[in-house]
Amino acid sequence: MKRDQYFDDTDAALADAAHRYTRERHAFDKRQKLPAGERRFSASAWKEMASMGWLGVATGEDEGGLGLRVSSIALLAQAAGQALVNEPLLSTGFIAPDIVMRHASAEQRSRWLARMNEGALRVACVFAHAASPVQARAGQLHGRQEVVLDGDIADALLVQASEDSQGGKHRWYWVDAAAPGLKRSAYPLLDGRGAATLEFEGCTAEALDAGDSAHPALLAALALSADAVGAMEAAMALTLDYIKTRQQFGAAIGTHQVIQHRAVDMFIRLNECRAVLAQATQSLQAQPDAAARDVHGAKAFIGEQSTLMLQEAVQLHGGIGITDEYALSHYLRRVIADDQLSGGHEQHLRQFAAAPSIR
Amino acid sequence: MTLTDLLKSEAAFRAEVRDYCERELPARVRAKVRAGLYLEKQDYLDFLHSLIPRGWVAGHWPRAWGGCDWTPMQRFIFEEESAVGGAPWLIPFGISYVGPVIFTFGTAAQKERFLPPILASTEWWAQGYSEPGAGSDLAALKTRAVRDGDHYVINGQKIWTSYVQWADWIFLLVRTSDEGKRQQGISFLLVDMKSPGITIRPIKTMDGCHHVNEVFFDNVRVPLSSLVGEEGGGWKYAKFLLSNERVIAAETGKSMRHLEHLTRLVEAGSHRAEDQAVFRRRIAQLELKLHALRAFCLQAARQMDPATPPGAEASIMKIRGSELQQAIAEATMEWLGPQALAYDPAQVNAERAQSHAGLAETPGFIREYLHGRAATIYGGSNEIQRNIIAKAELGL
Repeated sequence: MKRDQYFDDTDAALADAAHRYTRERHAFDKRQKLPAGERRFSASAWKEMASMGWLGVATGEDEGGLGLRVSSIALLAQAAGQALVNEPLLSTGFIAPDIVMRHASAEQRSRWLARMNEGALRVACVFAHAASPVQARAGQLHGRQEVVLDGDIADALLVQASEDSQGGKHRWYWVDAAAPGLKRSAYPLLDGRGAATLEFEGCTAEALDAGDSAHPALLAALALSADAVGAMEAAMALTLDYIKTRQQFGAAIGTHQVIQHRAVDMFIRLNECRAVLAQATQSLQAQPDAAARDVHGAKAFIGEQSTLMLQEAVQLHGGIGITDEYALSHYLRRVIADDQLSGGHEQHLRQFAAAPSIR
Repeated sequence: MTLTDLLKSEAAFRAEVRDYCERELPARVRAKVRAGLYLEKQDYLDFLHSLIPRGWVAGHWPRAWGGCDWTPMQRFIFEEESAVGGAPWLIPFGISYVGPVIFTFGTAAQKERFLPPILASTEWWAQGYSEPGAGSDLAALKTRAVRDGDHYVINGQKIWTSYVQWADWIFLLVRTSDEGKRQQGISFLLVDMKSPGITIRPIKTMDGCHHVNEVFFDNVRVPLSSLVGEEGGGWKYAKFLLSNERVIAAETGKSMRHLEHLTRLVEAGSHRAEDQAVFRRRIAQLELKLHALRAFCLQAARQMDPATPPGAEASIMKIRGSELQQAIAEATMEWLGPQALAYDPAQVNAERAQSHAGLAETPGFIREYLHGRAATIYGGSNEIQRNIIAKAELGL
C-alpha cells in the first residue's frame, strides 16, 4: 500500500513540483539575501506559484481551477511551511476561494476567481471572533479585527460579519482594500509573514449569499496544521544533521544517549503530528461526519506539539539555534504563528472535545 | 479499492467485532474485565473458547494454519474493539509469539504437534526470556542448554515469566555456545513444563496479584527435537517474534475503555464542581493524545506491508501507548482522592467487584494503576525503545 491513500496522481505531481521549486528557487539562504519587502512578498515568486496551479486547488473546475482538493491544499501548505513561504498561499490560494465557491453568486465568482487564480488579486480572510465581532448594518461594516494574516498586502478582504447585535447570524462580505471607511495598519509578524489591524467604520461592503458553512474555518485550521508539520519536518532534518556533526568533548554530541533520546522524542512528536494531519485531511475530504473532530484535533495537537518540538530543537542546537541568520529560529517562529492563527490549541482542544466522536 | 470503500470495509469489520462482544463474549468475563479484577486462567480460557466459532483465536495467522489471513488493519481493529467491548488481553505467548515462530521456522512434526492445541486453546504457553542478569540486555542471558546424546540438559533461571503457573509449555532462549558474538550462541527451545527439574517461585507484584514468576531449571532433560530451527538461530527467531507485535503494542482499546471509565466517574461528581472543570480539561487532553495515538496506529496499519521488517512504528506505539495508559490511570487515582488508598487485594482477586470506600469498581481502578506501572518497563523498556529508534531511524 502506498503512503497516504488519499493522495492521487495530481497530488503526486504537485508535491513533486513544490519540492523542486522550493528547493531550487526558494532556498532559505537565497531568500535571506532579498530586501525586506521582497522577503515578505516576492511578486516573481507569487507569479510562479500561480503558474504552477497552486492557487487553483480550492476553485471549481468551471471557474478555471482544479476543484476543491483538500489533499493538495495539505501538501502545498506542508511544502510552504517546510520552505518558509511567506507569500499569501493560505489566504488567497486556499481559504478565500473556498469561501467564494461556497457563498458567492455565479456573477461574483466570475468577477473574482479568475483574477485570484492568476495571482492578480490578493485576498485576506477575516473570520468572525466571538469576542469582537464585526457587525453588518445596512450593507456597511462596523468593528475592528486585529492580526489579520496577509491583511498587510491584500487587495481585498473577505469578512465574516454578524448580522444581529448578539454576534450571531453570519454572512460573508467582500471589501475592497481601498474602500472608504476602512482603516488598515499593517505590520510584520514575528515569523516574517505580515498582518494588519483592520478598523471598519461604516465601510462599504458587498454581501455574498447567506449561509454559513463551517468548511472554510476547518480548511484554514487544516492548512495551518499542515504548514506547521512542514516546519517540523525541516527542523527535524536540521537538528539531526547538527547533532551528528557538532563536536564537543571530542565527540559528536549525538553520540550521547541524553541527546539521542531527546531527538527521538522530537521524532515521535513529528510522526504523531503527521498521522493526525493525514487523518484530518482524509476526513475533510471523504468523511464529513468525522471532519470537525479530526480537524480541531489536528489543530489542537499540532499547535501544542510543534511548539514543544521546535523549542527542543533550539535547545539541542545551542547558541546557533537562537540566531536570525540560521533557519531554525524561523521555524520556531513559524509554528508559533501557525498555532495562534485561526485559534490557539486550547480553543481547538475545546472544540475537539465538544465534537461528536465517530469510530 | 477506493478510500471510501476501504473505510467502509473497515467499519464493517469493526461492527462484526462489536457484535461478537455484545453477543458471544461471556458476560461474566466482561464484567470482571470492566471492573479491573484479576483474571483467573479459566476466565482467559472462556474468552478464547468464545472466539473459536468465528475462527478468531488466531485471526492474523495464515489460512493454511487455521487463521483468517487478517490484514494488519483487521488485527488492529479486532484488538482495539474487543478491548473496548470488555474482552481480556489476548495472551500472546502461544497465539502471537511461539505460534508464528513454529509455522515459520519449525519442522513439520513441530507444526503438527503444537499448532492445533494453540488454536483450540487446550495448551497454555509461557515465554522464558528475561533472567536476573539479562533484562534490557537480553543477549547477556546465561541459562544454558548442553547436548548430551539425543537430549539437551538445561540449567539456569528465568524471571518475570508471566502466567507460567498455568503453563503446559514454555519457549526458552538458552545459551548453546560461547563462541562468536553473544547473539550467535543463543537457541530457541520448546520445553514441556512437566519435565522433571523445573521449579516455579511466584513473585507477588504491588497490586497484590500473581502475574509473574521465577522459573528454575535444574538438569532439565529435553529431546533434541525441542530445538526450533537452527542451533544458534534463537536471536533471529526472537526478533521475528517481536516484529509480530507491531500493531497491537499501543493497546488503544484498553485506554479507550479506561478513559470512558474516568469520564463517567467525573461526570457523576456534580458535587465537586471545581474539580470537575479541571478534570474535564484533563480528560480532553488525554482524549487528544489518544486520538493522536489512534491516528498513528491507523495510518501505520493501513500502510504496513506484513512482509517487511518493522520500522520505528512499533517502538513509537509501545512508548506512547504505555505512557498514555499510565497517564489515564494517574488521572483516575487523583480523581478518586483518598478513596484511592483503600486497597484490599482480596477485593480484586475476586469474582465480583466490591469496595471498602467508594464505588464497587474502585479497587479495580487502583489495581490498574498499580499493575500499569509495569507497562513502560516490560516488552522492552521505553528507554530501550528510544535506543532502537535512535539507531534504526535516526542513524544516531
